[in-house]
Amino acid sequence: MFVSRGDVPKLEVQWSPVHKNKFITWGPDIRMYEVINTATSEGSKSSDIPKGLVLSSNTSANLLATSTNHRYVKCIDIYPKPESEIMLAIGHANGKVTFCTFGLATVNNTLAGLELGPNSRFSRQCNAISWNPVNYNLLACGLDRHRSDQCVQVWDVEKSPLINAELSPGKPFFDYGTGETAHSLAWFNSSPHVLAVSCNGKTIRCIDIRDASKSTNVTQTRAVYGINIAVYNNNHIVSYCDNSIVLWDSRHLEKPVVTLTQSKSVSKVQWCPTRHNLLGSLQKDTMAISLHDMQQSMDEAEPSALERTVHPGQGNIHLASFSWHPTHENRLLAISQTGVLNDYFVFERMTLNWSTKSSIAWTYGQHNLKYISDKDLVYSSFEDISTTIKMRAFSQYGIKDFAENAKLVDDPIIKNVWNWLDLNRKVTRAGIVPTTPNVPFPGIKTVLGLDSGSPMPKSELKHVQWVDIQGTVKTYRSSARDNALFLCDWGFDRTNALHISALLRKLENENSHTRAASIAIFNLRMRDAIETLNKGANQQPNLSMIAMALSGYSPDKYSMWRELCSRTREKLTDPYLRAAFAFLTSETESHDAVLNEVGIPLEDRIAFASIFLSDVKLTEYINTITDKLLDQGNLTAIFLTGSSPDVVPLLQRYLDSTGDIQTVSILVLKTIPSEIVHENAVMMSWINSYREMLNQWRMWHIRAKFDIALKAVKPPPQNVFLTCNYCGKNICPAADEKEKDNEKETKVLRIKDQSENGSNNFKFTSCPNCQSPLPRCALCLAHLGTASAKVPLRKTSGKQLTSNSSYVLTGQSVNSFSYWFSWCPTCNHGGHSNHISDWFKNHLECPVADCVCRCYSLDSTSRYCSV
Amino acid sequence: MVEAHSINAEHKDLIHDVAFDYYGERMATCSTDQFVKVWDQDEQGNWNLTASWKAHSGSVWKVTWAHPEFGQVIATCSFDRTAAIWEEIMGESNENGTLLRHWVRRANLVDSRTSVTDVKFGPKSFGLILATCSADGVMRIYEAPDAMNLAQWPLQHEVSLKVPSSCLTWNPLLSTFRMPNAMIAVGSDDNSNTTNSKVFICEYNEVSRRWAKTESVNSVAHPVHDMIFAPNMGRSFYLLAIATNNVRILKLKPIVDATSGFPYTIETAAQFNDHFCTVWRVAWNITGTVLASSGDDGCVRLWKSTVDTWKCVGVLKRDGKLPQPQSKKTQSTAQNNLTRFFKLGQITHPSEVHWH
Repeated sequence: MFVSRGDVPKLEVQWSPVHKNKFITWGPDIRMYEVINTATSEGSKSSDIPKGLVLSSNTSANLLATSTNHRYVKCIDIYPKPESEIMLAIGHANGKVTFCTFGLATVNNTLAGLELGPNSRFSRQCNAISWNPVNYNLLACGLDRHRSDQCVQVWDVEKSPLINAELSPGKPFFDYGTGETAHSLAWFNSSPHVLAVSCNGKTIRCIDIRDASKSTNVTQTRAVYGINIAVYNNNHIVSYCDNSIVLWDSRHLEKPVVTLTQSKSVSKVQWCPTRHNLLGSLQKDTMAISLHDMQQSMDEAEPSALERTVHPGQGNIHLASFSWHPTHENRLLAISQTGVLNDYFVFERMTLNWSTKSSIAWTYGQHNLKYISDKDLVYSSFEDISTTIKMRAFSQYGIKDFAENAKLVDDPIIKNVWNWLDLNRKVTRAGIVPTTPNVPFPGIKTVLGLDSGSPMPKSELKHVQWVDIQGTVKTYRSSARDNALFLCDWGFDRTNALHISALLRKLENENSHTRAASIAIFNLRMRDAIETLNKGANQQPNLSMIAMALSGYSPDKYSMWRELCSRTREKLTDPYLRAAFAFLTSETESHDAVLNEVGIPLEDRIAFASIFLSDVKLTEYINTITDKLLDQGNLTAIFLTGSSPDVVPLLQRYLDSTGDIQTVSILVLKTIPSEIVHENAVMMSWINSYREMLNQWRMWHIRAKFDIALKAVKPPPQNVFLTCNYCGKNICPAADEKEKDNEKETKVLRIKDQSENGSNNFKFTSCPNCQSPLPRCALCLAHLGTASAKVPLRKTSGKQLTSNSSYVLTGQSVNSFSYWFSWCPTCNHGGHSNHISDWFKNHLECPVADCVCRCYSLDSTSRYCSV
Repeated sequence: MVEAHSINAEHKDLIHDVAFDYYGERMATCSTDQFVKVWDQDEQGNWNLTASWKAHSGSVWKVTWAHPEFGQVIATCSFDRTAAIWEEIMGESNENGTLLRHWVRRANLVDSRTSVTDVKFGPKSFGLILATCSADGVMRIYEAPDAMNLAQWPLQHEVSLKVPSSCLTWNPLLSTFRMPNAMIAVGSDDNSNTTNSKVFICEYNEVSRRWAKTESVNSVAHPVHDMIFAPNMGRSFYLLAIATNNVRILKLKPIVDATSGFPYTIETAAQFNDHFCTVWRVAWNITGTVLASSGDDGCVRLWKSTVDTWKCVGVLKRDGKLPQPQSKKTQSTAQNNLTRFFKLGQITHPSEVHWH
């Protein structure tokens, strides 16, 4: 129902209450639209341009009909009968009510052309009009004042005869309020005979149309415009006036529930029909619709509103009106003062959360939750490291050996680290490279003596001849450098031709011809290099060109060969070839071009540096590259730091940038001695974080194995003891450390005496100190200290058991775990662990008579199994 | 095309919060209809409703789980000015032998004079401890001295922040190693201005044995709707995600040997305006490396850091329609726009399609 205030032509919009996709706008003329969904599906052509008004990114409206016959329209309401075509009841400035069906041939043709309303002597403005939502034939009109006519008229459109406006009009079904003005009115859905009317600028009344004298529900107020009753709860009524929106409870109409003051004068209010307690309001000359979420608690006297504003459309045009969709959740249509329509969906705040099991859940609409988890394909695109960690943990990453760990990771850097640690261990175990107890996995820096800060021991300079051509190269040797070479996997004897050939053959088999060639060159064997390249020319033809170029090598610094090669070197793509040529054409002793060739793995570069760089330059190079890798958080720097204390900042940096707590914890575990780890708070915090993560995933067995590896040196001291009830002393003789040895001896002997058959099993059924009997298992009634018997297992036939039937003894053997007793700390009853767990598979309560303790159910986590 | 799984939450009104327990096997939801519902996940991954009860006399804003060490315990807070603690107990078994479990109210915390907007349990290392914040800006800390007796929750501390507060988050610490003092961050959704700071850090001072506000973060001046610290996981800094007019991530780095003042430097590690509107909720994954955010545009966006820079790694539209693709050309690896868009959620009832 819409009203026009004053003479300003107002624009209004309303959804049809029965057609989900039709609405009308009304201003200078009345238009009916149909909404179509223009959402493009995948593969649609761009030529499908929607025709008609665009309402939003996926809806647009087609104009179905326009009606311009009506003049001086003041208010409109749409016929709410389901399954009928759109029909409008229109209130005019002269008080008449006409009906419009847009010329459609409908069942209600009888009404087209009908004109209802007061006698033309009493013509005055019709302020409000409303169809009854339940009895569709009733139509209420609110009129301005006339001293001798009623302001509220309810017509029954089925009973009024077809009449001509000129002749005497029919009588309304019900009328009320002589000499009064009705500003707005609204029907109650749940009591369809009751009408709420605001009169005379100062009252709101609820009138029962069956008996007008029964209108006891009255209140005095100035808020008389725009009465709107909430569809879901008819107790909620709202009205407005000037800057105030007033909420009423129809059960206590005498006083407003709450008054909301707005900054500007209000022009429309409407309850959202699809959500409880949500009120939309529009103020004059604003671009936003305010939403008031009414919160009320039972104890509270006055509810408060959570306010929000939404900007349909671009938010830069003033809005004239809006209308909520009757059934679609939170959908509204807004019309601006220029007539631009906008179909807007009010998003409620979406709450979301992320579980430790990698499920993301969020709310969708009012009633639904949506979630995705790491089992869904889309999750892998997020590259969440926690899923990688989980998968690796399942494959026992870290618990296994180095080489196995390397196979479990995809990241090449981490793979290399594990492979290098494997090599390191082989080399140190063979005694080739010395280690200290604190640094079991020495890195290059340790081996070269650089980590202590002091300069390296002096190396001797040797000029080495090329094996097969003229020329010498400066190389350096020392035992420290040799160790470093071993760590780089260059531990072959470089003077031995056979070793080198073997290595080259191996590399050729792996198709790393360029690497083989460069290694040959760094070992000063030109002929071998050329041979290797030629062999590789089968796969890569250009290698034979390179070989040809190499064969022209001349050691002369100013030769043309050198000049040309150093220039064309840039064009080579293979890093090994580039390095080889850089070596051959290097001007200075610093060989920077080779060292900066990041395409070559670090080991090879370090090995090269160890052979060809002087002490000073070597120190400088190692320090620079360590700092650079450390800064990047690149784990490859482990080659350099080894497991010395320098590794801690490297691991921290790596952890900060990737979040891979797993690799960090495992590296710490495997490479650093336990004593140092336990003392260092940073490392313990990493390890504990990782363990906590495994706990959250319920990977308890894997965490236990990790713990075993962690505490491999020292088992924790026993901190739970069993003491005898009678004498109060520890019943386990061997565990008590404070006892003197001879006392222990006697106890052990005594126990041995007690055991039958002289067997070595410790079978003691009484306390060794006071000889009083030990408690019994609640199920088998044997004493603590005896092994549990094999548990009988029923055949699962489902039939009644006969006496000599179906008990089958299991094949459980007697092992140390069968001695294990367990107790419920709440009721203090217990017994053999396997007996107890079997009991609780089928029962809830403690097996001891008269004890109702629900032993097994007390701990909720016991419901879960380890993953 | 990817489908997100759907659960009919059966709440009659807006769902305000969803919370998972420590193991991710149970989920609690709370709503304006004053009910709290608890869901359990079975082996096939489906969520089944196992409990539903009317928890408060006003909208329930937040729900949170305690560490399972203390049993199956949740806390809720509501518009009716109270916060409540609930525990699940084993009831009688029915004829089938299955155990009936139901939730009972253990304690009611009624100290607040206005709507309680957030409630969160503290890290397990502090014992059974709870913080609440309310619409009049008072943060309260409750501590249960005896973990076996959940009925006793004496109010231990109160900090008055003088601006309406909307959310709080504990800094999760595994040990007292890197963080000498317990820390809580409180956010305010005060609408009255956009100049004053809306994020406050409160710390517990061991010496004075009191909680006090120690820092205001001035760079966040728009109303804050949600905040959460990331799980630390051994890193040398702390990340705080903030949902305000955009998504913000603050990095708190401990200052070594800080003698006085706030012992951390706070820098804005990232700021994302992609939602183009108000951001309501933020949540971290278990390693604290990926952040999810939800906004008024109806999207869930995911953010991940790679070596100090943050970028969006996914957008989930809740209704199944793809947003406008931003860039289809693959650019150079230096600016790799790895934003992928996924269509989720097949609408099963096309007649009730939600329009935008």
